[in-house]
Amino acid sequence: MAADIVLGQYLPGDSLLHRMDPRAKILLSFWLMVIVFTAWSYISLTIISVFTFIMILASSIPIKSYIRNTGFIFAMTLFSSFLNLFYGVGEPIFEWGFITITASGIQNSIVVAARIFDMMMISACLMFTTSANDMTHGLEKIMSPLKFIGVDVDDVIMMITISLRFIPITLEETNKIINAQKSRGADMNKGGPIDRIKSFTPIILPLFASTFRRAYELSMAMECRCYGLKGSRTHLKNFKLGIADLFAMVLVGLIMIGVIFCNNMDIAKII
Amino acid sequence: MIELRNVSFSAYDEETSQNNYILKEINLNIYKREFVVILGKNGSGKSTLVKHFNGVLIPTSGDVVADGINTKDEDKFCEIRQKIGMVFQNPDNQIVSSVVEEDVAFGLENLGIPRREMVSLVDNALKCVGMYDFKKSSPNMLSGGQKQRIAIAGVLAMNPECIVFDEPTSMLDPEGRKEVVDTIQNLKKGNGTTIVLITHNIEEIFCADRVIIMDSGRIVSEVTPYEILLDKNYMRMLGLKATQSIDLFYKLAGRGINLPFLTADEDKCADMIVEFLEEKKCR
Repeated sequence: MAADIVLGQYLPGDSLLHRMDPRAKILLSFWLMVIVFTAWSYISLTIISVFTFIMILASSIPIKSYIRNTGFIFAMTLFSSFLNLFYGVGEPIFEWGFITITASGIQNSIVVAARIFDMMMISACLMFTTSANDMTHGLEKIMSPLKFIGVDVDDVIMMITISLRFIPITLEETNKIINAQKSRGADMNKGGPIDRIKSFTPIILPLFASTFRRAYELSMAMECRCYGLKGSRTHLKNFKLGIADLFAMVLVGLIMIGVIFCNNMDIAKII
Repeated sequence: MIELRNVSFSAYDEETSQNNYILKEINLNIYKREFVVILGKNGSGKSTLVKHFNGVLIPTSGDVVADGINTKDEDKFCEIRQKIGMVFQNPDNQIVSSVVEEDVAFGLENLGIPRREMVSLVDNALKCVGMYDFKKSSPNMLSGGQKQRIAIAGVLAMNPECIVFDEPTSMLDPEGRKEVVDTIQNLKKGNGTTIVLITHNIEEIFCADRVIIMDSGRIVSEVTPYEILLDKNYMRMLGLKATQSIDLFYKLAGRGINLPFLTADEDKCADMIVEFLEEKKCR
């Protein structure tokens, strides 16, 4: 059933992050990621990591779902940071055969791991707490200045909205066609890879045909409701920046100042 | 309200390289606050006809004048389509957004209605079709009848003077069909909206003021719903199937028992029979 499919990774809830304005959420997440990339010293990375952890707690989504959804990328991160370990320059701390490990190598690998990990968590936090619809509307508002350079934001957003609506319907239809072909004796799981790909033709073709028919009917229904006939559209959905959003902005601002300030402080020098 | 003068519509057929006439010289008037049902076999040109009403199709020859505006006037498309709304067969293919209230607002957004007015218009339209409680739901979670009612609300929110329904119940289960038919009847009673309904279902023609029968691109006859029910030839020609209550009506009439009026609703039919029997007992 189409009803079972939930798009994206949105986990409904009523936490502080869920209630935030999607515009603020998207922009601040983006901004945080930029800050993550400017962070270099251990102290500034610690500041960001602590903040990310606070964000995860504030989303009131169990840490389990974060780990489950980011597990694979996490493994990749560990691997790449492990490789970084061997590419340092300067005085070797450890030497064995062709393997040399330097202080800068260690710092590199830790920094890379922490950066990617923080970014993953920040984006997961955004995805988990923002529904696909809010995301679209948020993007719409953020992208609206692009109108002045000739990009038709309204159309792009309408396309995204319609795709979001029709993905579950198309999936349901695919299943129906698969069942219909199976009941006519089609075998999807026989033969080598090429045979299997070929066996999908009788599914793809009817799906295409019906999707085009849908598109035609939908465009007619949209035309009947005056789509594209008047110059500027108005919008039902309206966002208001709340105290939570202001608070988040101030926090991210402070984090940025902290990171820039601490970037030049090397923990090794302090010790 | 809508006036068709000598309307013909043809499409070019590549196989025979000829112009294929789908509508032939149709003259028709639809008056304000009227409930018109259009009947006809598949391919008789019903859907093509109603698509001329709001300028989705432009006649090859002849004129369609909707509320004083000729549909050939491209500058006024928006006005015509706001005045004459259309609801189609498949509810899934008319709903744009994955949130109910946003879909209902779609037409208003297109018209550029300010947000403040929009909110109350959307709420009223949803209340009118009895779907207010589902305001924030996703259409994917709703039944066919509920989805069709959302589609009706979407048209209704634009405050049209006339709504054209193109077989709105043909893809619904009996329960959904009843929901939609009740909604359409309420529109007629409550809002005084002009209604044009294409249908294959005999139960839906009872509330009509006038029935137009089409065959191969022409209007064959204009009758009242009762004339159709009384004449078995019409029923056969249109492939309509009599419901139990209509059969019963005829059988009772054959025995000299005349019920006050014809109905497709079994409950009403039963009530009438009970009333009749009680009257008889009193005498």
